[in-house]
Amino acid sequence: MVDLNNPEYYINRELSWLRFNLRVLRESGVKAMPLLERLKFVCISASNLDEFFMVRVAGLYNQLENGINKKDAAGLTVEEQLKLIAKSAHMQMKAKYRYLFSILKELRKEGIMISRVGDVEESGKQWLEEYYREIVYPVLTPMAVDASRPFPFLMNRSLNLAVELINNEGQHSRGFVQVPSVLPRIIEVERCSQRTFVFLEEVIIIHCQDLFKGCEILDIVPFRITRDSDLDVDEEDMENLLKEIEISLRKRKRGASVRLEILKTRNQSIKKFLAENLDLTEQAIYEINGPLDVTCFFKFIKLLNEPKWEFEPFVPQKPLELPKLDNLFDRIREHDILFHHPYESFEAVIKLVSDAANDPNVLAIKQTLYRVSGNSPIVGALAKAAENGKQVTVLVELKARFDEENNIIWARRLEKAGCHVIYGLMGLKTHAKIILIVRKEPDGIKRYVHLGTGNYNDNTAKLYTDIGLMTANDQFGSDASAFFNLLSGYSDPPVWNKLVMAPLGLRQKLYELIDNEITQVKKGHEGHIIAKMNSLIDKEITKKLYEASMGGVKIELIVRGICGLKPGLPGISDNITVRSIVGRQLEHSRIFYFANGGSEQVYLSSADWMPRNLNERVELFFPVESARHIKRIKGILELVLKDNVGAHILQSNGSYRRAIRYGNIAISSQNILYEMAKASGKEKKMSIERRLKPLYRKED
Amino acid sequence: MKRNKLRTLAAIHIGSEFVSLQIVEYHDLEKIKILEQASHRVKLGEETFKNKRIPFSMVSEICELLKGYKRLMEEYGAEEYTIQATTAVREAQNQIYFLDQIYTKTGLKVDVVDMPREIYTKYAAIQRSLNKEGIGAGCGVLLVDISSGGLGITYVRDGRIKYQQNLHIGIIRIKEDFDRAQKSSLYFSRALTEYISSTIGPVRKDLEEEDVRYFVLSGTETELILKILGRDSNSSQVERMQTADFITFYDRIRTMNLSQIIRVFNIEETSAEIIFPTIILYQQLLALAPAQEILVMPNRFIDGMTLLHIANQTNTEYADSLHEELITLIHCIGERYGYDYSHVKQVEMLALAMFDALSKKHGLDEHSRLLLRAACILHDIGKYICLRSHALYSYQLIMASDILGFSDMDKRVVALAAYYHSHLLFNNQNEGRPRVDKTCMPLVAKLAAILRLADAMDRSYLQKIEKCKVTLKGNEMQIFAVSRKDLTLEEWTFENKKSFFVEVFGLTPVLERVGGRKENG
Repeated sequence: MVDLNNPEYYINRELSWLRFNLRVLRESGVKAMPLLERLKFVCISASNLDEFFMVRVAGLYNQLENGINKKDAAGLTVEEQLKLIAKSAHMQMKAKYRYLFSILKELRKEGIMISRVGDVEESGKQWLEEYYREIVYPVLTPMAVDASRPFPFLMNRSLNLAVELINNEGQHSRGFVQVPSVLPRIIEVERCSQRTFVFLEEVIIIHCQDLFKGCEILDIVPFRITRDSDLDVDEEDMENLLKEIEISLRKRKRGASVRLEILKTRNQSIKKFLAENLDLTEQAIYEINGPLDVTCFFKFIKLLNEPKWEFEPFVPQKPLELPKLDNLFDRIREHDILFHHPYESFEAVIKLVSDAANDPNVLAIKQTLYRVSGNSPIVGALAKAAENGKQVTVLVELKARFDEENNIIWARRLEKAGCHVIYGLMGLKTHAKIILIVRKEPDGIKRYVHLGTGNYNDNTAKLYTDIGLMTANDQFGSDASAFFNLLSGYSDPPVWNKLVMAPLGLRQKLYELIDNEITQVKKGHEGHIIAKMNSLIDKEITKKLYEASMGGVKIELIVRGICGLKPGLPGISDNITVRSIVGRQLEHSRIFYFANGGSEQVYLSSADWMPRNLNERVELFFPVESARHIKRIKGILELVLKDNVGAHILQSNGSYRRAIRYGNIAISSQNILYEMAKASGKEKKMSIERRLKPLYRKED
Repeated sequence: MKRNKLRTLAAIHIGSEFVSLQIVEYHDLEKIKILEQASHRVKLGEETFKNKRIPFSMVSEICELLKGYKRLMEEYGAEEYTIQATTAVREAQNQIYFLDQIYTKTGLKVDVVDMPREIYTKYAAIQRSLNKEGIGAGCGVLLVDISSGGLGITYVRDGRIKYQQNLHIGIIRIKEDFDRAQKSSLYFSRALTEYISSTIGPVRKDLEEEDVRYFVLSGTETELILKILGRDSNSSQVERMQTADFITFYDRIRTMNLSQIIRVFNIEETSAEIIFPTIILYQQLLALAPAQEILVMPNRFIDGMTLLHIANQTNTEYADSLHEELITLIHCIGERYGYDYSHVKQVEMLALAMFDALSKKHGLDEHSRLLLRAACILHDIGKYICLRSHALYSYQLIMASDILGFSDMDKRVVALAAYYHSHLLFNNQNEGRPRVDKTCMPLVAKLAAILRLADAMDRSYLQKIEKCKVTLKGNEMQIFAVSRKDLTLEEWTFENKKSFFVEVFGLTPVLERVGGRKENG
């Protein structure tokens, strides 16, 4: 009997995440990609890694401090995990700078100079001098450290200069200067013949003597600290996360430090001094031979403003199944409408809510909102609906403590307009994405439902791949009502027609679906599962998948990020393959296909296969029922499975390899889907020449 | 009544274990679409049965919930609503404050229904489901409804109610009647069996002659039983099982104690506490009247609320058929007390002829008509006890009977009408006579006055009048009685008794024999 609890069969969550980040980083090495897009991938991986330290690594340190040194599914103790993380992160750090330098080298060839201040031409140096006097100098605050002045508090992710000096009394001393975060980190030097850029810290370094007057400066070393931010974040929503962190930074600067990045110099005394004062061990110190904090290149790309080195703007197209945006309710009543964002525009979802707000026959609108921007058109439409006298219920997920301030403003706005706002549930986060519209029609009350895999966020809907479904099917309508009644506290869990909800029953349903495939194989049918999601780390589900593999079920997993399952283990997971798609769009849709002995089933969901999604969140999982949609979604999955551009194949040792290109034909599922959307989005009109052609009666 | 428009109705039930809402869209009884169902667990019953009052915290909880339900009603634009409370609220000593709080906080007026009405409401829904499934024609069906506070036993033969009895032996009540120590005792199973057996014992005699084919179960506890039997407890279908299967299950569970039940069936302790008495109760009832098959009904009280509301709004035919069923049951009660069927039918015929002529002008509705029929059928049953003062005994027997579908107030009106058919009712009531509340006095007086005359017109108990036609003309109510027999006795009695009628209606009744040749003898 095989013991499926064997740690050999599992990949550690953190190491798997680091591998994902490495895949993102490696995109910056794809020569076929525009230069600045490659640079963006460097930035994304760097900012991801920052978060990873602030949240995950910090979490592990916390566990350790609280005496928890439990083993994970892969058999690693917390201590061992921290060691392996450090090893991998150190390697990633080095790789990051290799990619960065190669990109900067290419930029230099194109005449974009990122220079040392010393190398700037004379006229530029003069300009820099003025810039320093007028702009930089006024905001600098040097801090000395000695017996009477303790080690200062240095902010999370701030860039600082450590200055080693001999003070006016002739004593060996140290001081700090924070590189002001209010100023651009990368400065474009004016009055130069070529576009020239320098780093702010360098400008400060050469003027440091001014700041410590009367002292002799021995050495200046830039460094950066990453602290525990106690953020409970989703890896999936990177863009918003950044904003979030900026907001919470001020409040949470006092977290324990988890990482020190420092310029690699021969001077070990500053490093030692910092490590001692920040209570960091050697493995948490990252010596870097290059500019610290490369996320500053995000702003550099904007500053550079060279569209020729960027992708052509991505334009979401008219949805295939909804060429015209009029009479949405009629269209939905005719048949269910499936949307594939971002290839297909999110417009229709916004339109649905705003139409409902202005339609005199609409009685009520209910919606979940998880991370919305303040000026979201959806929030505006909901407020409008309430003002128009409709019953509007909005479940706002104030995900984390930090979010509150931000969300509370527009949540209050909704309340003021007369919406019934529910601020989440006591013990669960609401991650489900659903809209319900109740409309009075001549033949009775009709309910319209939108269900999706992604947030109601018009910004991310341009970047994330997600699938949404609009339906007037009454069983969905009735389930949607019941779902909101449950969230409103009006009702106990009902008997669902179509929807499956976490934490009430989703896990069980997944077991059933997987078990069913095993049974199908026993009956002589083909057992086949294709599952696409962002993360798979739930051990029990993984075990179930191993069982299915051993039972002869073919399992194709498309997991963008963390994956704790090991494919291709002899006798355990021979029938399982795992691939991760990394590309211009952020893969976000969760799609589940089951062959079901020939009567295929397709489900969509807001939930990943992670314990947190299945146990601690309100999630929805719903079937796609029309044959047309099943075919369409299966087509998407099959295309993704053929991808050999963005696809990385997980090996049984936990590493990833780029998909092999047979016959040298590049298949990028993201590009193909975009091109297909563009083709179908084009209005099928006759050309003007043809239309001008007169018609004659046909001769017999 | 014809309607073209779709209407939206919200029904809310404040039960002992749940507060539930149902919003439906309807055209008529055949076209009902459920738009919304919500049900939230509350521990109302547990509190009331234990402490006789509803704690304030629960009042607030329920008000909050009702506010939510009100929102839902608005979301569907519900034009009509009915909100009823059953046992737990009915028995709470602080009922009035509870209802007042709800009204002040939510603006909703709650109707507290009494037990016969409660059982009847559920019965209506169940009977309709059975009819749809084609069950019950030509055979005997025993309906057992266990609610948290009461047990309703109804025997129906060929679609007609033959027997109805309500007992105060609900499941939560049983649960609260025994304490923890008692429940974990080894003898609990036996003691509980004896307790239940003795409580339902009297029913045995009433049912012993009957041939029960189906044993029909309903109530929230049945869902739990289905669940541990591995059936789909959530289906909206009728679940069927063979009696033998149930007995096997009973034998298995009987020997287990509470903790074993919890472990074996993987259920919560509160559920297990309920399972046990429910199973024993069913087994005891099955022992009374062995049935071939057990049916578990999905219908809940709230389904009946919706059904009856819609029936009253749209479908007189169905409402009539329900009334006929009730009348059958009332005849069964009359039969039990040896009533004179022919006399009763004659009185009913005559009384209804008068009622129908008077109803419009004197504010008598369909419901009053039903009460009058009941009074006609039961007015003489007191003779079963003693021929002297029989009206008083009629009053007492009626008050002591369970009459399905009749609220306590309804029953009181019927009983009083029966009493005052042979006594005069005036404002200054004599001591020792059943008192009539001011609120129902006009109705009692009207019904009694009609009954009094109808009874007089069959004074000989010979059903001499074949038909009668009643018209109102000026200050007179003219009764044209078609008879070929001599009506002297009836005419004299009529003259004697009419003064009360004049007093009540302000009309002088005139009896005139018409048609046919007088037969001698």
